[in-house]
Order: sequence, then C-alpha cells, then structure tokens
Amino acid sequence: MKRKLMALLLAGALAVGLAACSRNVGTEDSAPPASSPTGGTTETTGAKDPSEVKVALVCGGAVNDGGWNASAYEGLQRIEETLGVETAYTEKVAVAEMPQVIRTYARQGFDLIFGHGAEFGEPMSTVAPEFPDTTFVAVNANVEAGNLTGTVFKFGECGYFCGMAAAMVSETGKIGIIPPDDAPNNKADIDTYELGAKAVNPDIEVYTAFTGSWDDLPKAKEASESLISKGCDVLLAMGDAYAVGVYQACENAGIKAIGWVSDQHDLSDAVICSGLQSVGDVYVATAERYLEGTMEQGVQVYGMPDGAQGMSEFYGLTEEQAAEVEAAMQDYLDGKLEIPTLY
Amino acid sequence: MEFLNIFLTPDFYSATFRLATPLMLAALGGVISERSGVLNMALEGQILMGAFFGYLGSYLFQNVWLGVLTAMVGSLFLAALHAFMSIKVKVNQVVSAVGLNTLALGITSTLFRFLFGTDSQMASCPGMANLDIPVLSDLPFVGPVLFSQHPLTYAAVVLLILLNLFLFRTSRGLELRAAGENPQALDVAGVDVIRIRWLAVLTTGLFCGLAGASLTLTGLNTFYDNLSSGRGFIAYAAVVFGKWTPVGAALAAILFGAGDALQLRMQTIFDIPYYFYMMMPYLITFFALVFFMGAAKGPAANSIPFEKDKGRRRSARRSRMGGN
Repeated sequence: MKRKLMALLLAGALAVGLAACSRNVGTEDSAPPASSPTGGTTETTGAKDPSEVKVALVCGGAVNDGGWNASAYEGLQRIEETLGVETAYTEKVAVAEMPQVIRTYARQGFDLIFGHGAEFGEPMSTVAPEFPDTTFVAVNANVEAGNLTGTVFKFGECGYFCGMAAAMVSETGKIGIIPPDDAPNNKADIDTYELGAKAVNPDIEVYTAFTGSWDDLPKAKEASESLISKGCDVLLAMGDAYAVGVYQACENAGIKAIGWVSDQHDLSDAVICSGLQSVGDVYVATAERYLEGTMEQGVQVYGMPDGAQGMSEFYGLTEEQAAEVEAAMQDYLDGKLEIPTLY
Repeated sequence: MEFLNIFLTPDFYSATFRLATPLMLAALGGVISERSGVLNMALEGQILMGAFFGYLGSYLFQNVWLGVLTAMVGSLFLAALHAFMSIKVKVNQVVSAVGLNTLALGITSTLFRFLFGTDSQMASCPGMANLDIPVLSDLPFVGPVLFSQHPLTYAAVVLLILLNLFLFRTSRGLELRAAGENPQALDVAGVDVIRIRWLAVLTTGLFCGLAGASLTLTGLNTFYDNLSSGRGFIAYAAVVFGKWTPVGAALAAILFGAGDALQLRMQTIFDIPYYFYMMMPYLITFFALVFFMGAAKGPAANSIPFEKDKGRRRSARRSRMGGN
C-alpha cells in the first residue's frame, strides 16, 4: 500500500517534471491574412495555402528567457499572426531528445519545422531524410541537405559596433565582455568587439569572463563583479537570461552595460545600447519564402544588409559618438569597412 | 605577478564568501540530515524550491523577510516529502532524492511560467542589501570582506557555530548523531529514532530554504528556471568532503567558493581555453580532498531506514498488555 503510494508520488514527480517541457499549440483565432494567394494555389510554382500549412518550433531553452529563445517565440507568433498558419512549439528540449521531438512533429503532419539553435543542426540532419515531404530549418546552424536548410547570421557584425560604443563610453580604458562560451558564432563577435573597440581607442584593454552557462544568473553576476574589480566600466552581456545578472552588477557599480540580441534598455538603465539580431525577421522571412515556394537550397545568411542584424538606439552616447558609430555602420554597408564575420 | 595581485584585493575574498554562502547553508543542512541517518541528495531540489518561493514570497508580500520565510516553507515541503519517503515508506533514499530534484524543477518552472507568463520581462522583487556592521566594516581589508556581507552570510556563520555546539556539546546532538550511527542502541535507550530523523530532515529543509533565498533575494531579486544550476550537488559533495562535520562542510564550501571566485578572475589574466578555468573549483576541492583529508567514512547507519528490532516490538507490546 505504502509502496504503491510512493510509486504514485514518484510518477507524479516525473509528470510534473515533464510538464516543464510541454507542447503548446497556438490558437487559431487570428484572421486569415489579406494577402492569401489569390486565384487558386495550384497554378503558381508550389505556393501553398496557409490554412493547410502547419509550422512547428523546437527550442532548447525556455521561451520566456527574454533573449534568444524569446525571439524565436516572437517569430513564431508573428508567423501565425501575419501568415495565418497553424503553429505549435516545444521548449526546453534536451539535445538527446531533439530527434524524437522533431520526428513527432513531422509525423503529425507539420510542414515546416524550425529548430532554434546551432545544436539542432545535427539532430535535424539525422531526421530530415526520414521525412522528405517536410521542410526543416535549423536556425544558426551551418547545415544543408535536400529538405534541410540552415539560417545563419553574419556573426561578428554587432560585436564590432558594440565594441565601438563601449570604447567611446569607457573612462578607464578597460571594457569587458561576458559570453557563455567560445562557440564559433560567439567567438566571431567576441573578436570583433575587441576590433571595434581598438578602432576607437587603440590602447583599450578588453577582458573576457566566460560563464559556461547561458542562464546562470548568479554566476554571470559574479563574472561581472570580477571584471569590474579589474577596472572595466562597460560590460557586454552576451547571454540569454543571465544578462539581468550582469546589468545588476553594472547598476550597483554605477557603470554601463551593452545588451545583446534584443534592445535591453527596458531591462536596465545601465544599458547604453544593444546589438540586435532580429531572429523574428528571419523566421517570418523564411516562412514567407516557404509559402511562396521560393525557398532556396543551401544555407541562408542574414546580416545587416538584410536588416536582420543591427544596433538599437544609442541611449548613453553623445550625439557625436552615436553619429560616429552610425557612420561606421554606413561604411560597412557601403563596403568601405571590412569586418571579419563568420559567414 | 598579476596573478598574486588577485589575493591582495579584498574583492576576491568577499566574492568567495558570497559564492560560498548558499553552498555553506545547504551543506550544513545536509550534515544534519545525514548525521541522523537519512541520506540527503535532494539538497538541489530544496535549494531550487527555496530560491523560487523566496522570490515569489518577496514579490507577493513586497517584503524580503516574508520572502525568506516563504523560501523556508517551500523547501520544507520538499523536505517533508523526502522524510516521508525515506523514513516512513522506507524507499531507496537516492531514488527518492532524484525524484524530488526533478519534482522541484517541475514545480518551480511550471509555477514560474504560470504566474509570470512568457512575457520575459523579469519582474523583480524586494531584496536585501548588504549589512554593514558598524565600526568593524570600516576596518581596512577585513571590513569589506567579513563585515559588509548580506545578512544570510552572517546567518550561515552563526548557524555553523550553533550547529557545531549542538551536535557535539548537547545531549540532543548526541542523540542525533547516535540515530545515524547506532539507532538500535538509541531505541533501546528509550529515544524515539523516527522522531529525531523527521526533525533532522525537516531542519535540512529550513537550511536549504535559506540557501535558496540567498541565491534570489540577495541582490539578484529575480528568478529563472533551474536557477540553482547544480549548487545542491556541490553542497552535497561539501558534506562528504567535510567528513560530515559542520566545520569541515563549511570549509569545503568556502574552498569551492574561493575556487570559483579565483577562476572568474584568472580568466582575465591568462589566455588559455576557458574550460580549464571552469574545472578549477572542482579540481581545487578534489586535490584538497586527496591530499589533506583521509578516507571519508559517513555515519554508519546512513541511508538505512530504521526498523524497530523484532524483540523490542514484542517486549513493547508485552509491557503494554501488562499495563492493562
């Protein structure tokens, strides 16, 4: 009797644990889009009827992290609202479970499946050949196969201009960056951060402290303290949820911070600007291309020229400084400034 | 040279104590439970419960001390489950702990999402400021390190002293240790072993609640899924490294905190792959264990559920009948 009770309790424990990795199906209350294909769907080269298309998103982290995974969720919501397709998502999927989750969506007849992060490249390469009629998109992964496409950002663009802004604001001549790890895409921005800073002030010192995690807030705060004690007075928080920990340390020390992926000025007044990666734009653009049947083979690169990367407003810079960064951005777009990007 | 400078700044030492506080509180809690004979690897789950409910309480009541109280209630709940499983139902205590750690992750993430939504704006709650001890905090070097910490760090030190006195200087402490070494003898002496173990496991919950609160309410003032990030397992290791003594466990926790504070500072000096720095706290603790500690031997009756001896049960029944 007692053992049965125990078994039940443990089963309950597991069930609640699994609930944390739940599937959520979007509601279909959004009106069909005004721009739905006119004149039938069969005559054009594979354009699809949005009402028959189902789009799924699989995330490694939680969609409320305020950064990377939240941007995917936002992209999915925009796809549902603007394109009128049915959507669903699964979050917090461990790497080992990814193939299974992806397969489940494919079996349930989802047509377009997004994997949100470079870590989806491998599992999707495994699963894609099993479902030739499904289209797989691995965001930030450098992969391609018949029905599998990778989208990547031109990593390194934002880092450069963040570095410029940091060097302009720094009074101590020391700036810091707090990345989770040195994966190639992070490394590209870490390197250009230093390049950009040196372009403004050749003598500037750039310090790095890795946290080893994307969302360990207390650790990120301690990493910030360590850089602050080193004399850094501008810190770039290059993570997901842990950026909040960095901003708190910056606020306490009265120094400046730079945000990453989304405009994080509303999270903290210490944030002087943010490097932007509009993941949402990538999602909507990819889904649109899919519906139009114009999706190209191969890895799709999105960067500042596409408007998928850029800088937020400059809150903590003087007008001249902001103008200088903007001029550099224009130079880059015009091809006058070379930045070593990853792709 | 620059490397040695790290040790000359008070900042390094105060970071050490900051990082060690949650580990120390949880490890002290672990010592209590394990000394009474209940294996407690559910520290991680209890810290996470404390961290979330501390945040929730502080947010709802807009009072950080009520937050600390809710943190303790939150992890007390998990501790009660562990006590029930281990003492009453007598399941394998490792399995119970693993289940409870998963349960805590599920409860906190689910409630966090349910109550705060996917809106990603992290609502912050009132937190505690550093408490400067008058006069002492003005001392050079020692002041900022020891006397300008947040209140829960002081609490950890006070609890360490109290626990040490309790375990080794009081008869109740002796009873608790006996429950973990030789519960049958304790039972024959007429002491209720079950009651002692229940109280010990529940007290562990209270300590872990404080540990969780020290993560969320001391400046971070927000919560995120799996915020404890394995600190409970480090704390458990500290219990073993410290040979199940409060002082040993606290020293292990401080050593680990120092390793973490050191690696974060060394990253800015030497340009070697950062994975080596990530390893450092573990390596330092590991080598300390190998070179300075002997073989680790836990309480003899640890993880063995207590069953009254058959003879004792019969004699108890006889004496009851005799009384009729």
